[in-house]
Amino acid sequence: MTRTWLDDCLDRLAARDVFAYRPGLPSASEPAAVSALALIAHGRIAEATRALDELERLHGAANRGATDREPARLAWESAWALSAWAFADRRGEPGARRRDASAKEALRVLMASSGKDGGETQSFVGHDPTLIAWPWVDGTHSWLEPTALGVLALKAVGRFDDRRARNGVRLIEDRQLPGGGCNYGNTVVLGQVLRAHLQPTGMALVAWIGEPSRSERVRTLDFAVRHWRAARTAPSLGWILMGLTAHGAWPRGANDALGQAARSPSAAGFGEYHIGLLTLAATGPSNPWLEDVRRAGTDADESIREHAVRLRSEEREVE
Amino acid sequence: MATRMSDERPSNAGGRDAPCSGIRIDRRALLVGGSLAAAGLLTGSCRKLGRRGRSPVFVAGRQTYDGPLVATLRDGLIAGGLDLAAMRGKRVLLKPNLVEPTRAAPYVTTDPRVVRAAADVFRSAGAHVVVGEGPGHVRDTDMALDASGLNAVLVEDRIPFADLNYEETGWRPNSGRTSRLDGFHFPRSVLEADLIVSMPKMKTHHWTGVTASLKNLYGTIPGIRYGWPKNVLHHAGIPQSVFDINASLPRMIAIVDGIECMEGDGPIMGTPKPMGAIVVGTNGAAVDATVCRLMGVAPERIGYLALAADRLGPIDAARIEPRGDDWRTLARPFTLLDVPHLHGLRLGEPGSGTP
Repeated sequence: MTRTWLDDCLDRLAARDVFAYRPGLPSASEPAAVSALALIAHGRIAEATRALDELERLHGAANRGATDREPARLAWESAWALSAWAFADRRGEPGARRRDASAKEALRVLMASSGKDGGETQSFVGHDPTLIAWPWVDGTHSWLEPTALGVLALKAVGRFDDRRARNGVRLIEDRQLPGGGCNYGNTVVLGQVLRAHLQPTGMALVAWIGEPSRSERVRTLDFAVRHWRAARTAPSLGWILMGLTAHGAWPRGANDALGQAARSPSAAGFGEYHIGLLTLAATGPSNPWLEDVRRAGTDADESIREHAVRLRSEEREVE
Repeated sequence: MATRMSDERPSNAGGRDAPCSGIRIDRRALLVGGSLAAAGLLTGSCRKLGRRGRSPVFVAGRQTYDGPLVATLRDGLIAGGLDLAAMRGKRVLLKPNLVEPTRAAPYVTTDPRVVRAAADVFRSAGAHVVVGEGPGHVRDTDMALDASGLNAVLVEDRIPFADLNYEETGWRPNSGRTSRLDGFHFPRSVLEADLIVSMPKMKTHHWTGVTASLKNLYGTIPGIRYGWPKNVLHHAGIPQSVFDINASLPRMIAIVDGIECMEGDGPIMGTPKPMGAIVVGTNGAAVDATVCRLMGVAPERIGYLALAADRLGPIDAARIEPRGDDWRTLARPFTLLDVPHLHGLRLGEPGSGTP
């Protein structure tokens, strides 16, 4: 049987102890979470344990050592942890149950984080700055990408209807560009329409998974369908394909594009982050991670409901 | 402090009030100009000029991206006072501006041929060259490298790239102290560099008026700590945080890509402005002041340059030693966005203090 780029990439993820953005860098939450999601999505569940444990170590260490100079783990990183641990739990990863306390803490960090109202800027930006979701860093404005990650995490743990998730969905709708697509989260500044980019567009579409159909989002799906072929790098291609998948629009030629991206030379080098995104997207039109998140919205899946109940009970203990 | 957007209105973007008057400047910030000399990276003549309070700035006109850029940059660095012989074994970080690249508008970002030429000059001098950037608006750094054309150059020339948005970071106290920020998390490649070469594109900026070498160092701030956009800096005040970052990173020199520039709604959505210029100097404030004059803008009306004046370096024309081509023969006014906070920035306008 011929080995493919996908086999090579999954083997590399399975063999790693460090899950980094770039070669030579230390582990970080996002690469660890993406690596775990990819391995589980491809059925290599037991091999995801190292990435999931590394995610727990990173999350715990950051919060224990929090000072002004070394701030607590940021909420968007907690969102990644929640998403990965919830998927592992649902798919029966052996260590999932022992991470419940960490998941509870991640949920607390996520729910405690909130963007600032930017109402006074209304005269020179195109979006509604009074909508509140998640910032990159507490004390600043809400932005599209941390909001997408927050929404996804809440959906993954069965909180589809949580007020924070609803507000996040609404904010992402509001941050679409007039012609469709999204960027980091500004649409119009001083009367000038800004450009869309594929990675945040894909993240927006993924965050809307399982939502009832709304005409407001169609233009961004159209943008993704029209422009996904321009994506040549792992983060943009991985996210835009998952965004299309989330809405049943896996495009023809996607597998070839993923293989090409995996082989393209990068001056910065591929970290586990890049490999994880490409392999996670390569699950194709029935991405198991996204399917789990979608099922969480219907509240029909027993394992997701059970996971949500456990998190809620531990949350009450904290309160 | 008011909440602000990514492209928020800076508190001192060039209005008629004295920018940041009354702000107390930490004495450490005053020492920035001497750091390169202390590190032995400046030539003797430049050190003497510095003692007289003058900083050399080299300007070359009639430049093209396919022209002899290596020779131009080498001439500029020597004329600007850098001792290339002292660069052997030194770690040099070239920092282009890739804030939000798009193939449709190459004039948004530093041209890769200028980066390649700078790498050639420093490598020829025996330095270890790394190119590094932390794009402010896009998390996909590979996309930024690809769309700007820089990835192909770096791969072909085997120049390593440091992804400043994702590297591990170290804390450095805020040596400027004009913002409320206690310090900065800087990426490892920034902290370990013996010399940072800020390589901006010459552009207008819809909040600050002009962006050049000092503002370009926003890209040394890691997204992994500050986000995309780096909103923490905006909330702390753009002029103040630009000043503070530069005061905290003293070993910086500047090579400005002023060949195909941007005017109007910069730094992203403006229109092309051909200038054919390269500007080089060992003091970022003096270089940026010269860039402003080339663009027809009064440097003292730019908030962060007003802060930088005589602290990070001279911005007064009388205290800048012109080298190379006469900037007066090359200057062409850039169109500025017609918004109230950018009124009054032009050279010769009432209140600019510059004829």
